[in-house]
Amino acid sequence: MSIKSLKLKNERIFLLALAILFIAMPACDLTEPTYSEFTPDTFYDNETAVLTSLSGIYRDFALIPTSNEGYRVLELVADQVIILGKIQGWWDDYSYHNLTWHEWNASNRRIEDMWNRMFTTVGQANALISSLENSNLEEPGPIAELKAMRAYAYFFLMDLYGNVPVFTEPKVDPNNLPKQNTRAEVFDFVVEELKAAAKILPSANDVGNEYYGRITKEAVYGILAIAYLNAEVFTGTPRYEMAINYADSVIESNAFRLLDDYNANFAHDNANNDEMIFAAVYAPNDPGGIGQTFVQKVMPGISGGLFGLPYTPQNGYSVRSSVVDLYEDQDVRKDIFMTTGPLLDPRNGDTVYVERVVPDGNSVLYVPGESTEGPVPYDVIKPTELRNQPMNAGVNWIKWRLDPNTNGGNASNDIAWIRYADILLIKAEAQLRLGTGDPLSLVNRVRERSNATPLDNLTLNDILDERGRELVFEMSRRRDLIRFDKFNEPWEFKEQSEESRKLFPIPASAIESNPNLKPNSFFN
Amino acid sequence: MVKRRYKKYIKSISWVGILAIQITFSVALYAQDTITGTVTDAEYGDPLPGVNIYIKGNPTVGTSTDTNGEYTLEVSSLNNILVFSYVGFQRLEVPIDGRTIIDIELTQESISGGDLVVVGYGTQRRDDITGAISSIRSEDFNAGVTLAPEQLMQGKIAGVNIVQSSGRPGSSSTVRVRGTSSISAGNDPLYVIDGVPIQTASVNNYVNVAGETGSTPFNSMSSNPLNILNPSDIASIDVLKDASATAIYGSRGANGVIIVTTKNYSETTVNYDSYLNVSSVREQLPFLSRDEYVDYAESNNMEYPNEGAVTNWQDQIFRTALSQNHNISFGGGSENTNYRASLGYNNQEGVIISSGLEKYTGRINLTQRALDDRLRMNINLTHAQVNEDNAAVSSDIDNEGGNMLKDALRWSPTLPVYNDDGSFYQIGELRVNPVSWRNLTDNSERSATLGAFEVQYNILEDLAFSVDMGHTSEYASRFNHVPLSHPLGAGEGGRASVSKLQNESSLIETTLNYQNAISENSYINVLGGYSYQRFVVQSTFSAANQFASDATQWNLLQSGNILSSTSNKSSNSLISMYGRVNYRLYERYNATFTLRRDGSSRFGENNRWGLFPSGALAWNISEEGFFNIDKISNLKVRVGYGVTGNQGIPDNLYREQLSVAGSATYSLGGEAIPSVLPSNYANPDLKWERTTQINFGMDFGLFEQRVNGSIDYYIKNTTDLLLEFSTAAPSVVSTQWANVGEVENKGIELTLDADVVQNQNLLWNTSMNFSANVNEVISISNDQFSRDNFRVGSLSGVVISADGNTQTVRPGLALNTFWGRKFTGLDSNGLETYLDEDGDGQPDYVKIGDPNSDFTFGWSNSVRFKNFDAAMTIRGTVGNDVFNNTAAEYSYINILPGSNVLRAALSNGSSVNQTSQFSSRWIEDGSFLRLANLSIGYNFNTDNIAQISRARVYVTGQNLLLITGYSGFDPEVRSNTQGDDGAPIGIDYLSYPRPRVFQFGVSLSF
Repeated sequence: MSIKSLKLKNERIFLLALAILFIAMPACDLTEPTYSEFTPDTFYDNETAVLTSLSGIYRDFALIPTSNEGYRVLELVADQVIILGKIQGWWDDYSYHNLTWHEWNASNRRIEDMWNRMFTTVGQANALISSLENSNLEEPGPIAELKAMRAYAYFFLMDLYGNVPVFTEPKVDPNNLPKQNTRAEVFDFVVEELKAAAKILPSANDVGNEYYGRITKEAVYGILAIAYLNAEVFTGTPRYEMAINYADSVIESNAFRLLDDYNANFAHDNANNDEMIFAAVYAPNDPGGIGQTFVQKVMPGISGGLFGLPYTPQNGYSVRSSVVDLYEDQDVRKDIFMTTGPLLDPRNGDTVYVERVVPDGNSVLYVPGESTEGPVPYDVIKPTELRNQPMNAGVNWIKWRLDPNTNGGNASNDIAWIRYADILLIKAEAQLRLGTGDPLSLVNRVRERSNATPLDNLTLNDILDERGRELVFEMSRRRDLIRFDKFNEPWEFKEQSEESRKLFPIPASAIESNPNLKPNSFFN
Repeated sequence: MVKRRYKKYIKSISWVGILAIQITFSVALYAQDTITGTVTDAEYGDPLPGVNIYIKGNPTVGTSTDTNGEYTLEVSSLNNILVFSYVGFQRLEVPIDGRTIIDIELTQESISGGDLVVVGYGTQRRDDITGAISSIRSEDFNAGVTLAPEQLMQGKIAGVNIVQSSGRPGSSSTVRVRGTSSISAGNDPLYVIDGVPIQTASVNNYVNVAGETGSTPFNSMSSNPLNILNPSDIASIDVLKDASATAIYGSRGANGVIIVTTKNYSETTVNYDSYLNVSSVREQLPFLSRDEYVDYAESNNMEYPNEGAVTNWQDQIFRTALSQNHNISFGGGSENTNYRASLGYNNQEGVIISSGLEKYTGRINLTQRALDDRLRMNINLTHAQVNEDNAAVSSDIDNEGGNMLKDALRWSPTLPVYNDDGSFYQIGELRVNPVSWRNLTDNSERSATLGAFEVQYNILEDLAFSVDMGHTSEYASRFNHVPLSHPLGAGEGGRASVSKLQNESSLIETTLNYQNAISENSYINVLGGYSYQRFVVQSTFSAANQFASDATQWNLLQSGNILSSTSNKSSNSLISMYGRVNYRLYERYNATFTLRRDGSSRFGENNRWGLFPSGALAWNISEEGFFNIDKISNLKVRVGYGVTGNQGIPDNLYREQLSVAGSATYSLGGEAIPSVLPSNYANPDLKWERTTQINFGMDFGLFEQRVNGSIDYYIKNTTDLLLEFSTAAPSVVSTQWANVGEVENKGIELTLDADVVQNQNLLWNTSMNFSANVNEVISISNDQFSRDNFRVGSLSGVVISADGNTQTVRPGLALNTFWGRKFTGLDSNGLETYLDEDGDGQPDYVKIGDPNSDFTFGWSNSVRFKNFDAAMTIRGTVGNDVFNNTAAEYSYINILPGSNVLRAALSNGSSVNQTSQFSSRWIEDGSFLRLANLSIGYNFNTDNIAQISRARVYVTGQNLLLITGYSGFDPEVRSNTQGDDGAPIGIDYLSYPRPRVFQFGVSLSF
């Protein structure tokens, strides 16, 4: 064979090899399977799948009372709950002291987190509603539930931040970012959405335990009653007659009643009781389930099994003594407070003895026969300021009672968003403001249940105080103070504040990501 | 699917093989003259058996030397050219010129030696290189590196900035080649180990330590992915820096490419190397002593915790740590085989109690030649087992929690370590006795296997076909246990978790390489290739609490209450086709062109494929006839331009997804219903981040190469940044990825190397490098998304700022510029005042520092004097700022007496009413000069000991001297603060301090 033909052959091989390399092999496919994600187009083809979408939305709300942002934003700005900075540095975080002092700014972490939580819920609901609408499922209930919960999220956004953008598409177009609506427009959206959902949602009379945790027609009526009660704040126009109408819708459903025992509303086995209209459900012993942490966060820092608890509580939230002073001594609702003086065991009223009171750390429970120091009673003292307090300063409270099955600090007592007592007080207030009906008897029904002396006559201030007593720690105090125009008044550890504090600022980060948003001012 | 692909490969491989063999046998030969000779090793004079000899242009006419190095070859013409080739030696072409006896000396080549440089998919002569490539050989590595291979080159290579994130044994380093170009996608270079690109995302990034609560005292820093290599196995590291060099790696080339080549032996060798390390912290942070603390509290009438103890908590948690290391390797070579096997064992204690690391490595490298050297097969197999026992030290804790280091700093010195009964003195779960943190367990076990198999067949003398198959698998487990007997676990009956991860990648790559002189004065090298690589990550996590006993730790989770149980899997694949042409004309003009087409499954259908071209030219001026400056032995100028990509983002982002966060459930109707929520919007437009880079370079040599060096200038522009930015509400996710913005890096790199003294008794080599990089954000907007700035760099601890961040990404400034209030002093009340130029009564937020350095430098020396040898590395940075977050938290008397403070708090003038604030007050100059390595060795004369060929003892010191104005443990740090993906540059918070290490070692060869 000549050199020439060899060369020719070389070239052929070369070309052939190149051909193999560049033509045959790139036929491989680049599409990777999804292993650990669902695709929305195909996922919602059965009832269970739909339920999983509701689960996440309801869970978002249940995280509000237990998370750092939600509860602190809702309660620390009002005149009841405080967090005392301790001398060894605990709880000394200005992101909530600024809430207490009404000195927050648009970069406050808690305010930003609450905004994000609520708007994430809205965004998730938007996407889920769109997916469900595009699925083959015909059952309208779940979409109505999602719309109702989205409206509830918007209720909080309107209440806290005022003029937020109402947006219901599944996805924001970056070229056309949402624009702000006035607070009144948001209000209209909320009530219209709720009314539409109420037409579809089942009545509490028609569903039982299997539906517990989900929103019913009456729960929506309850939210509407609250919205209309505050309509003047939200829109400038009072709508008390509507508040009465919707309170009546709840009452006339006859699905609810006041429990005989006030405290049963907050017991560990309070699930699905007759007074609960809509609640956050806690199941800390379920894998992946959530619990509520009030006992852990609130109880004094005493180690060694205080009240039989398996942990040492964190001594976080306490309450202003002015709140305790609102109650008559025989009022059973006063039992939830651990006032100044010796600490008493809520299970039996016994004095709690410790080895010694450690002002800068946790005290140790006195154990007869084992402890080498003590016993001394654990004395609760009055705080002198918001910061640098000894451990035993501050009145503790135990509204949601001890849970024998607590999983660490995570307890299973459910927390009501709306209770029947609230509905009665809403109706009473609206009637009093309109001068109709018999508001006094409604208030006294609530009072008598707790062994408080019935009132002879009723003023608006009595309503505010009664709400303060009955609904203390239940996340409505800020709204009530604003409605009664007392939110800016000075109280313990807080000076008079500006009118504009009635709204939280739209967070700086939100404005950064949506330049259409303008910082809110209170008067628009 | 994968199986079918492989089949296709095997088919095509055998196809080519059969064809090639047919050709081989169909060639007819006829011979006339006989040539004989001996081939010897130029250095030692030993005869070389098995050297291949053939006629240039006709490789089928050939022979090889016998055991005496002798050969006989019949040739058709005495005008032919003979080619001598032998693995490990430089190829030689010798014209016969009518001779019949030709004796030849072959010179050994080190694959990474001065002459050859490892480039992507091959090697090239240093003279022919057109791009910016730096190489470092094992003899020039930093001495005393025990664990982390990247530290072998730390301070040695211009333009490569390596910062160890902390002093924790096994901690990772941030490696940046020519600055930081990406904001949210990865900035890590691509590592290629023996030809196999490694997915560096460390397993710890996936391993869940926090469970669903988010905050954890355990560190979530990633472990070093390169830890699986034994530094003593590494022969060379080559760093491809500019685009013309990295573009052959296309989509993964934007951040530079680091090619690690491991050792092989060509002669029988047995090595044993052993050393002992003694490490300790360089200095402690100056917190108040017991007396200072008590004095302050009493003179200010403050109630303070006092148990009558005198405790220096830093003494309690720091220790002098001992470590030992043993390496044994052996190998050899014969006619057709080279091999090396090694075993390594390393046991390292951390300087913080209850931390340490144990590492086992094994490696086998084997090369077999057959079919007259035309077939070469190569196997590199390595396995490593790394077990870490971590202390509870982390930087990403929120303000209420603690960890061992934080509690050691803040605990009052008046409190005792132990109660009278021997138990730990405790305050509570939020402030835990620092020493008692050791009762928490945080163990990780990682085993990794890297295997590469390469077959290369020379179809023709100048045409080689090769197939590379690589597989990496990594199994990592992390076990955490918080005992119920510990305050942290008491509340929930203890907590234990098991986290497992499996990370695998498979690679198949085929290349065709043609190299030949196409005319008398020109040479061409053409490479074409195809590669397919697939990565699969799977993980599971289970956590439980409410245990009845601590005895079973995480080994019987079912004895507790299961809190969480999750499993996840994701995958991605890359398909690439690439080609490269090197062309050389007249030994002085070089050109390189590359083109790579990459497809990644991480992008949507519309933008899966990216095209990455590059071109470079080089001119060896010193080879020109007109060039006659004697003193300049080499002068070459280079220019290169190329486009590379970055796809360092999570999998599946382009698709719309629904998933479950953790194992979230909610109780509906009394049943736990999993919470399935939208977790990602579809973004089918997501595409490659593109970096274009232009490089101008010059290489020079003086005085017959006793001095040589190079200068490079580059401009690197990254566009279509893969940016994770906050979404406008309402959205299902808080952040979303899109291609937005542009970042520019410009820089200059200088390297100078000189053999200062070169005589019989004394050899002294010195080498210096200098690099300066200027980083600037050009834009963070496009037609869809627009931002003025992003805030990054989370603030940690109880320190207040406007929004919890310390840094900004803002057009016109360098990435991660410190942004905040400018401290202007204290007013008469001892309260801080800040710059307020616009006079609005509010402090202005302005640039208050730049964490990027003005320049970095390194200076290495190696000296050999008679039997002594010594090496030293000094390195440093100038002009970078560090935010001392630890000082910002602990420099205010305001937190006394609840927390101990830095001594400076008593004298810095701040009033007791002044709270901890983030401002320029805590931005410090992080410039430093470090005596990083100093090593002195003695080589025994082993001439009279038959069994030992080499014996050396040595002492090495690391981190011996640090000159800096920085007040923290160490300015060279990157804390993994909460809320950031990866560690932001220039923030120091509760970092595990970097130890000073003394090492005593012995090294023997048999």
